[in-house]
Amino acid sequence: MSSLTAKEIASCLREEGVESSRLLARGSGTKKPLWDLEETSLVEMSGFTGISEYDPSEYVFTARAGTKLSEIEQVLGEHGQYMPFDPPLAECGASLGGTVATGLSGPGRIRYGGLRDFILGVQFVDGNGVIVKSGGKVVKNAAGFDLPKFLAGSMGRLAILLELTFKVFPKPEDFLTICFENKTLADAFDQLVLASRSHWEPDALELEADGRLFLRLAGNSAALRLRAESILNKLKNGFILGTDGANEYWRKVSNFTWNGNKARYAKVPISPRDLLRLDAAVNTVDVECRYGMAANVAWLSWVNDGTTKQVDKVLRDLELSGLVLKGHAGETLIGHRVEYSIQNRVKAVFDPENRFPPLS
Amino acid sequence: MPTDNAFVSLLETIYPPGRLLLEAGSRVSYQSDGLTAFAVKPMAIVVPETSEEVIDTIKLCKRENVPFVARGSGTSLSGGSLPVDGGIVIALNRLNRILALDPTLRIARVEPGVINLDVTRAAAPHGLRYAPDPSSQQICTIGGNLAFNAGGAHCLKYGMTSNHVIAVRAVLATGEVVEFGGDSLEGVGPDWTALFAGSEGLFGVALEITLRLLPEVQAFHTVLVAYDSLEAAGQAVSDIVSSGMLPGAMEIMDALAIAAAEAAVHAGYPDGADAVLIVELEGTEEQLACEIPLLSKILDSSGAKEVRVAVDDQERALIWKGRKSAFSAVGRLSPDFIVQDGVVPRARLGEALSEVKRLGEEYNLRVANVFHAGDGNLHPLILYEGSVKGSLERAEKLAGAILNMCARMGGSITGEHGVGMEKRDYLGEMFSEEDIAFMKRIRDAYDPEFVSNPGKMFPGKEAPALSMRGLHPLEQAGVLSRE
Ligand SMILES: Cc1cc2nc3c(=O)[nH]c(=O)nc-3n(C[C@H](O)[C@H](O)[C@H](O)COP(=O)(O)OP(=O)(O)OC[C@H]3O[C@@H](n4cnc5c(N)ncnc54)[C@H](O)[C@@H]3O)c2cc1C
Ligand SMILES: Cc1cc2nc3c(=O)[nH]c(=O)nc-3n(C[C@H](O)[C@H](O)[C@H](O)COP(=O)(O)OP(=O)(O)OC[C@H]3O[C@@H](n4cnc5c(N)ncnc54)[C@H](O)[C@@H]3O)c2cc1C
Repeated sequence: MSSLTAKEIASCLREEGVESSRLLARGSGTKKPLWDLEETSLVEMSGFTGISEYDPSEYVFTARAGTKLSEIEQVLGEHGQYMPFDPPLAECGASLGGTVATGLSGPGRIRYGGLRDFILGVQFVDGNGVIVKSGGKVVKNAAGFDLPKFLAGSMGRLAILLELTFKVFPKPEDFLTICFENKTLADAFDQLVLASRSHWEPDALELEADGRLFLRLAGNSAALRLRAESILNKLKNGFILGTDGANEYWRKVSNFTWNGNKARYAKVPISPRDLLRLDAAVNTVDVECRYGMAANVAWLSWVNDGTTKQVDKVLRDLELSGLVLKGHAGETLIGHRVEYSIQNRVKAVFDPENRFPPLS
Repeated sequence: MPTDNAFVSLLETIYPPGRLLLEAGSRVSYQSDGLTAFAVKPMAIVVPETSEEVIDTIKLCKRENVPFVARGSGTSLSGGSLPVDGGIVIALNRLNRILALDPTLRIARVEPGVINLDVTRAAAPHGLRYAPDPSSQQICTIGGNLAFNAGGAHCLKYGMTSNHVIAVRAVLATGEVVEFGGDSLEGVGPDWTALFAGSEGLFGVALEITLRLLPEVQAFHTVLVAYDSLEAAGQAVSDIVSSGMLPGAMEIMDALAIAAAEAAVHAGYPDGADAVLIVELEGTEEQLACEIPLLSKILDSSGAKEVRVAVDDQERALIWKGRKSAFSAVGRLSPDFIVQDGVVPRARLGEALSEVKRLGEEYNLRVANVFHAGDGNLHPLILYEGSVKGSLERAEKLAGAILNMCARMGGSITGEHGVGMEKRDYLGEMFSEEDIAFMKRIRDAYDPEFVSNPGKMFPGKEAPALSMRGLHPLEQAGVLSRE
């Protein structure tokens, strides 16, 4: 159980003597560029853990921010449930709070929605050290402003997340992955569009820059086989992946190991319409790229320090923004930025004394 | 605040006479929304045809410190679009263009006055649909849906409006024009689009909204099941949930609601049942072929009086017709009624319904129940006779007691109708003073001048009495029915 209490965390923001220093929550520390900032002390959330409420028949759980995704997934699994948006880095020890703060979803996002669609409630500490609650603990609720969704992606810059409530779903009996091998990314994209508009209910649609398309189905085993056959009749060059091959592929995608362990990894939200343009542009720099969530996100990865600047320029030219998840200190946001004065005013509500780092 | 006349002359610089409504008659038509017990005559109604006109209007209101209320179709059931005293109404119905519908990206960009159902109509030829389906969908607008985060019968599986909105272009109460989100499902940084959703018109006015469309569902399997008790129907829902299936909808109606619906639309619901449960499975044909036997097994051993499977689209439509008409039908049983939409944890539905029944007896009022069983969203309809002295007050007290119960059980005071005017004094049942103070500060950040739909959502000034008398005018005309 938890070795820290919510009050102790809140009191970090009220302590004498540290008034001037900036603070940032750290979950398990998987996403270094997001927390390793100059002159910033860390509030370690790894002592604030545990699932505080879970009633499988409600499809809802509440857990403390430092709880590891892997623990949550295991407990849900025991009751045949799961988080359908496939939160990444679970095997690497990522925490629930870190995942929410980063706003990260995985391949399963396309079927029922992403992290922001499953988060229902939050308790957080604001920059004054006050504990605030928003949202609810039931699957449907329209009372008050939707701060839980808003805080998805807040990068620890607005508040320290204490407790989070999520909707969960029954886990499908089985998954099946079909791999399509196309000559070009453009061909694969055409297949992707067909699949995404179909009533096949794909559970994941991931594109590799070499022209491979991975289509995952979820449901009853018998139904999956039949569905896969009819898909293979419609879309050419595909074959069903064996269980081991499929598991290995999805694990690599989720753990960000597809370009090795040393590389930087960045998330770049795109419209499917941007796909080919972006792919052409990143070909001019030393970057590996794959496209997830039916081409709604590009995952870029590079090794050399010097490349970061080039990536930043490519993204700015295309008016795309990126978030560096794995890599070096101080490289959090890259590419295009949009700023409105309302953003500073809302930041000032959460954090009037600037105890947390700036939003951008 | 300038005098009405001075402000009207300023409005005249933006609007031609036909789109600046000042005469008493128009002001009466806009004085209420779906919560007809409240009425406030606005100073004027403006009917913009372009985003620029809306932006100019907001800037003017801010500069002159005149409050405004954006209005879609005025179907809010909680007084959300009730005018503000001394303020203007911005009627958005003419901003009703679907600006873009991209079947490849599965998104539609629409103006705020577009009617909910028109999005699905436009998407259907491409094999797509817009999922959120409030039962006012033939008439309510996407702008109103966004502001109230509207729901419908399919929220457990598909979520509410905000789960289907990926971008918003809006003019904030400060006059700042912002574009939150984009054409991607994903973003970087805090989710500004999601915060705008459900802000009940307190932040400003949405000018363009980008919606996510879903492919049409391939197959449905709709079953109507009759029970001798609400408890048995509730237990069947629990059994379905624990089986691992994820139905698109699960709805329950009690005896009073069934009788009313039968009298109104003759949907052929079983006679003498104390409760009916509607379960609808949806998905690929292959998946349904696996789930249908599982569902029948559960239902056959659930103590049902009758299990009726819709064999074709017509029968399916009839089952839904009974359900969708239930509210208006119950309304016809009584001269007046109040409807609430509190939520309880699903496992406590049985307990909540017994408590509602007990409360009804205590207050000596009839209560009909029609609800979204899958997500614990109650819709108790409290019947009363406004002409009988003290009856309205009893009904209001009963409504309040039901909201208290929902909050006490760890649920919510509103699942989809919003806080608005009606439930603002109950916000404190769910949130602490600090929580509410924090939300108010967020509101102040968006609207420092306090001009955008002031007086709603937060407990505050003397609230007019809570009462919903009779049917919405559109329901009386048979245009609408409610869930
Ligand atoms: C040195 C190191 C190298 C690693 N390398 C790899 C690797 O190569 N591959 C791999 O797969 N895994 C790796 N990991 C795995 C890693 O241990 C865990 O996965 C990870 O620590 C989980 O981090 P997190 O998701 O909790 O987010 P964090 O990285 O801790 O935080 C991410 C962001 O969320 C914010 N945040 C976190 N918690 C909160 C909160 N409660 N409230 C508000 N904001 C919050 C932070 O401020 C930060 O902005 C590595 C870990 C370390 C320490
Ligand atoms: C018969 C009936 C059935 C109903 N069934 C359901 C149901 O099943 N589920 C459900 O959730 N609701 C239901 N409702 C409630 C209502 O239809 C919804 O709340 C709907 O979203 C309101 O839409 P509207 O266009 O009528 O908005 P209005 O009532 O005109 O406005 C609602 C709120 O939105 C604000 N607003 C409107 N447009 C904008 C804009 N462009 N920018 C910013 N703010 C704006 C207004 O200021 C107001 O606060 C029902 C109502 C009726 C009368």
